[in-house]
Amino acid sequence: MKKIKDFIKDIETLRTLVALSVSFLIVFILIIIISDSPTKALFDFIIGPFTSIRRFGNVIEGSLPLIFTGLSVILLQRTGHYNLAMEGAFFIGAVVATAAALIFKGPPLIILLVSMLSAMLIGAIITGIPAVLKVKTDANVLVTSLMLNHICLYVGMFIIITYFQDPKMNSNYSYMFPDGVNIPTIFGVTRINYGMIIALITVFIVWFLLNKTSFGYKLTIVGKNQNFAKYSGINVNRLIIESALIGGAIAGLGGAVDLFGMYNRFQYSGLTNYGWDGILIAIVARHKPHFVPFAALFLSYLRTGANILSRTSDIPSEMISIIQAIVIVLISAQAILSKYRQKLVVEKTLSGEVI
Amino acid sequence: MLEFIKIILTPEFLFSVIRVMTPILFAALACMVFIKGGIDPIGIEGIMLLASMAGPVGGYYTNSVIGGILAAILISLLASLLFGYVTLKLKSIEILAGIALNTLASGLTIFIIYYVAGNKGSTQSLTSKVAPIIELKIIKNIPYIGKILSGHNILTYLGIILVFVLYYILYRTPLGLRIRSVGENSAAAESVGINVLKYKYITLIMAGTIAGLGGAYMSMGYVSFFSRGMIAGRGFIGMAAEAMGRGNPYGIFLSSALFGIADSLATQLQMLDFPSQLIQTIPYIITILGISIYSYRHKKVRKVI
Repeated sequence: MKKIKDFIKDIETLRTLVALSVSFLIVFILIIIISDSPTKALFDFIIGPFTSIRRFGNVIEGSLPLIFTGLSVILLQRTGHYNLAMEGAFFIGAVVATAAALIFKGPPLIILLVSMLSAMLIGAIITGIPAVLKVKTDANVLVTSLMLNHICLYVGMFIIITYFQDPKMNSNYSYMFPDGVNIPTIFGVTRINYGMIIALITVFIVWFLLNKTSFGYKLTIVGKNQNFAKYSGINVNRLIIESALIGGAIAGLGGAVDLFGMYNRFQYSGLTNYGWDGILIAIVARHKPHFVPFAALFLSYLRTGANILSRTSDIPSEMISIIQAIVIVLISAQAILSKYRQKLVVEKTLSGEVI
Repeated sequence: MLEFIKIILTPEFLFSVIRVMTPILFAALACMVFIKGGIDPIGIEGIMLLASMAGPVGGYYTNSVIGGILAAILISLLASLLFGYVTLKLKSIEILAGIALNTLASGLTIFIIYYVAGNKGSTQSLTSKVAPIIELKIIKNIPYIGKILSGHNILTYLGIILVFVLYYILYRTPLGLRIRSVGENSAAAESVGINVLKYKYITLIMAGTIAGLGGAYMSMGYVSFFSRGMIAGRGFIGMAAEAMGRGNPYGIFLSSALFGIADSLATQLQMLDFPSQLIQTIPYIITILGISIYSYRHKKVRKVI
């Protein structure tokens, strides 16, 4: 016999599926209207990512940074605040990892570890600032974190251009990392690398933290009802800061893993947008860490399909943002299916099946 | 240092401050209206981006400046009302719906210009007009001041006039009172017979129009074409300017000017070989400090009560 809680869970799943179907439908209609050969375009978009090992590799390697930012967003938003500094934390994490990799001398493995730890540290500091300001001065987290992202961008660019820019390169590229300072690939043909292992371990740690520790339990209470948490003796302020620190460390680590896994020098030209993508990932994963890799794979699959489509037809890959926007709005739309949910709950209660 | 002060005091520098602050002023005023009506303004970035795309495209097809500006306002009204529908009717979370709107705008603008102008980067291949420049008759001839205040884009003057108009509407008319009461406590407003939904939509229309003008200025005044992502965080800075101006139109004007000064300084210092990236962080750092100090005082006041 199912409990009401389970029914509500089912409705949430249903809403996610409805959101995904609606957004796909709209994009299909768009493709059919625009494209000269709609069947081929649809084939490229949907089946394309599975037609070669390289393309399928793109799907998997593209999901890597998204897993980190998705996890980061889950932690940052757990207490009900919209701290958006994960975007800056990811970027500055990569910058600091670059600096550490080029400054320190030693065995490659040690350099890698030091670089990643420094990226985590700076990431934690960046997302920690809005949280501390919120707790100490009640400053709006949303605004301060958005401002911090800009600061991260400019300071990061300053560090790279002033101290580490390779004069032989035209763009703002850094010097090459020393030999061996990279995350090796798992399968030769693709760029899938051992960063995936780090990502999955991080997923497990976050899952464990949120579901199996008192810290995670308290965090959930704070997110659901801050006053209740306060009156039951939970130190709300401390939790807000701690969750922000962990979230930022994960975002910073994501920047370092992306850097060492995909490139051999720093070559971002601006903020990566992976932080913002993390919001979508967290929503599609319904803020559950163990669903994050699937949500990340899903977005990466869409991107890969759209990239293939933009090469074989005249449909720009930016149409993915339409899917992203619709998915975010519809999944977060409380009114959709609310009547259905109400009806189900009432029916089940009246029939006396559950209490 | 002397050279530096000399540069700041030149009329050219102060002229550029006004030019640079205009889009931020529009953004901040739109945010102010949103917040007064109790609506989260984070979608402003996307609304302005859509408007800045629609300006040159509309101007190209109608072959007129008015056509371009109207197209910009129209699309931002549509975006603003769509946001309203999604949050008020479908009950989406406002911040998430705003972020979705920004995501949609960043892709949709590229999508549209690709089909209209043939490339994904900008609309430079379309010949579109810019909004006219206005010479102020008497002020123009005043030495020094004339050079600073005269010769701006018509939209710049419109933005400055809007500061006073919005102050009047929000604080001196029944409409403004109702908008503010809906924003402050919608349940209380409803209990005295105010149609909350109606005033939410009025807020969306007003703020959407202002944001549209700001977007149009970017591509029909600041420069003469649309390029991808050209709002570049100005909507967010507008949110910060609103917070720093404490939601008051005059305060918002001053904080927008502060951003204009910092931005123009960055350009000037770049010429003097200062690390421009570090200078560019100044307005953001000031904002964080400003908001923190203001909120801290506010918090203390509330504690006393």
